[in-house]
Amino acid sequence: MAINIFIVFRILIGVLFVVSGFEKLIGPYQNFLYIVQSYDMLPAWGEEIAARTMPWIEFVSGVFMALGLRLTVALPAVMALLMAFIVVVGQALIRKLPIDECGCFGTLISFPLNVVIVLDSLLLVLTGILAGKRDDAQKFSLDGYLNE
Amino acid sequence: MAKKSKKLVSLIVLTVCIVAVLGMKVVVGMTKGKLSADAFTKVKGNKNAPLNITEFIDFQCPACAHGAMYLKEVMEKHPGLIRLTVKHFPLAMHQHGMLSAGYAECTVEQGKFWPYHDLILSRQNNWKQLEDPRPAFEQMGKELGLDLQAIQNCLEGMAVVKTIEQSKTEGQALNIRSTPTYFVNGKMFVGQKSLEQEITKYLEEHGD
Repeated sequence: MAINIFIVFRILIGVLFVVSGFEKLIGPYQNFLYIVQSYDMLPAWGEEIAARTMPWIEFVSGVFMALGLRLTVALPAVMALLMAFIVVVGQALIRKLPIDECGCFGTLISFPLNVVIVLDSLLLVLTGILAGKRDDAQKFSLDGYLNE
Repeated sequence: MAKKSKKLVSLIVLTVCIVAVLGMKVVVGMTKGKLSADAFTKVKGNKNAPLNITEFIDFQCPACAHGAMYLKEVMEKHPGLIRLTVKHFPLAMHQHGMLSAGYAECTVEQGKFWPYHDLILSRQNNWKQLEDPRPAFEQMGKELGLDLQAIQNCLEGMAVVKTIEQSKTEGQALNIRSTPTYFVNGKMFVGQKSLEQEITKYLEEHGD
């Protein structure tokens, strides 16, 4: 039986978002707030909101994507998050902000910004392909099961 | 029918997500450490100051240098406002983090921790890129009139490593991940910006 690569990518990207969001959510939010502040893009109140909401969006959209539930919403949500990450990291690179580590996975793994932007772009392309091939990505998913 | 059950399944998944995160937060909160009293620490400022700040610091971290400068300015401008305690939290990513903490810790017994703390942070750019920063650390000690042999003996002993590691373990138990992390009257603030906001807020509400 051939492995459906779209299912594998869907689950992997979903799990990546779950791990990343969960790690930020279970620790003190101040740690992630510090990372948001270091990108120096938002006013203080915006940084507060981003630090409190982004990990939830990451975690929930990752769960829905991994399970293949409401993919019509989960895939665009993940793509929007990835686009936001690319913009945020991109501006930090252009402005040469003194950021040693991206903070993308909390404290689990750390990447320099130039690596992160490549990884995020790659993930964005893969998620875009999944959105285009939703019928294939939807196999072995809750959406597929519930639509039967 | 499918539409209805999809809504229900979505709600169930969402609820499970929220319960899982909140449950884990409770578990993490229960295992979280407590900020210890001033044993093994360096303290300055009025004992009865309204803002009791504990800072976890890595002497090689640029943000810590900026934060220390900011705190020094505030303490000079508003004497009696802050009681500051410093604890070590050398990060693995900084190659001289542990050594600089060691030198700073070894100045405690000569009563020169704070002048050395200020000097080592203000000259951070001069020593952080060096392969071996020891001569730079010793030069700063000389300038402050420290007994360098005593510092050397202290660095060779195990007590200093134990003190720094104890401090770091305490920080890890408090879920500290970055430096500088401050606890203002027990409340956590990571980075200078959050600390500044808190101090400004206090000054606006209470004045000096």
